[in-house]
Amino acid sequence: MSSTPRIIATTASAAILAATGAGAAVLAVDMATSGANQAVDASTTETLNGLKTPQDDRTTVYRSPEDDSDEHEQSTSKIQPAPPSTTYQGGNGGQSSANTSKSS
Amino acid sequence: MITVGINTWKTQLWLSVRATASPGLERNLRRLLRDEVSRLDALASRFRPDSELSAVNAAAGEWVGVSWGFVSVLTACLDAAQMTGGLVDPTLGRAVKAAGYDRWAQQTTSTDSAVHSGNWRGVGIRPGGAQAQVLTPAGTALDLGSVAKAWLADRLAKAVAASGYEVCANMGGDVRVMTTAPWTVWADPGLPGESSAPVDLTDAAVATSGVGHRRWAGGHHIIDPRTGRPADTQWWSVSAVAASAVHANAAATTGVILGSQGPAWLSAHGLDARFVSQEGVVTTGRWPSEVAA
Repeated sequence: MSSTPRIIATTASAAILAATGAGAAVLAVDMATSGANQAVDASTTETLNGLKTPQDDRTTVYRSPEDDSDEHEQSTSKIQPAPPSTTYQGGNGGQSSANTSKSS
Repeated sequence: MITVGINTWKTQLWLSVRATASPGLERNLRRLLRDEVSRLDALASRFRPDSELSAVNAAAGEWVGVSWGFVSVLTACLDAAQMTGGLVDPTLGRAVKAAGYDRWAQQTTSTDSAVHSGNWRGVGIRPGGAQAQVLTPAGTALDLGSVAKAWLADRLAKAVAASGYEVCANMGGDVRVMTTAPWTVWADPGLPGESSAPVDLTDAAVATSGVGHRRWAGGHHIIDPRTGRPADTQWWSVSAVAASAVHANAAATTGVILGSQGPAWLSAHGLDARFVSQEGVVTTGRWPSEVAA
């Protein structure tokens, strides 16, 4: 039995969302209905005078039932540890508020 | 180095890039940070009656129209719940409020002795309305605050890195780094007399959860879903390193909630962490052990 949260989709939307390469089409529908963002290109990013804004939510976050396979579950159900490039003997640089992890 | 920051949510949020001074870039970074913080506040603040989260909580047991942005934050929280076996549960909003963490400006001592349990597996998400719809189980309320800042750190770091910059996004202690050369981040336990520990990250994150900052008479803000009450823990704080800020936050919070069982749980999951208590420091994984002076 799946342990993922219950995610329910209407048939038509699920079919669109599950289709490979359908992101642009879905985006177009959402753009028409929400008008939340201005120019969004096919890669779902826009620029803020040369600085890209975060990737558009709609093409990344929705997990249709077809995506809820065991393989998908295994890939997302475990905390991914630090990569090997992480080191703990460093300290190359001074401590400041901007580079400090402190409970808040 | 260019660093911009703002004070909000009773903490500090920082966005730093490795770049030579540039008024234009600094202005854009500041605008990006401000816009994204404002957006997240409108999506997920428990203290704003006009937020999407407040609308969802006001109609628990019913499908409520939300934006895809809200779905994104909620999905990250549900992922954290799944990864931790429900120990980091976004449906504990009523328990958080009952514990006394009610009003943003004034954290009151609780007079509500009822135990409120979560039910994160009962949350539903579906397309509908203008964008999407969310269903939360009757009798529960969402509190996304545990993971939302980490979600924002990952989101901002990815966006800035995609623009070609080496970046460190620090959202109130949930720190995501995306660089090619190591970036030193200091894990500060926030316990007087206890030193910070440096970690060099490239594409990774460190998060620190603890009971020292948001606490008040009779409680603190980290709820143990097994009891519905503030976690009974000996750890003042736990810092954990993981592939993303959401994952690191989930690990650190789980370490706090599990108390004496925290180090074993994180070790079993191959996670590097630093547990700090009044009695000393315990580390897991590759985090170097520390010997008292």
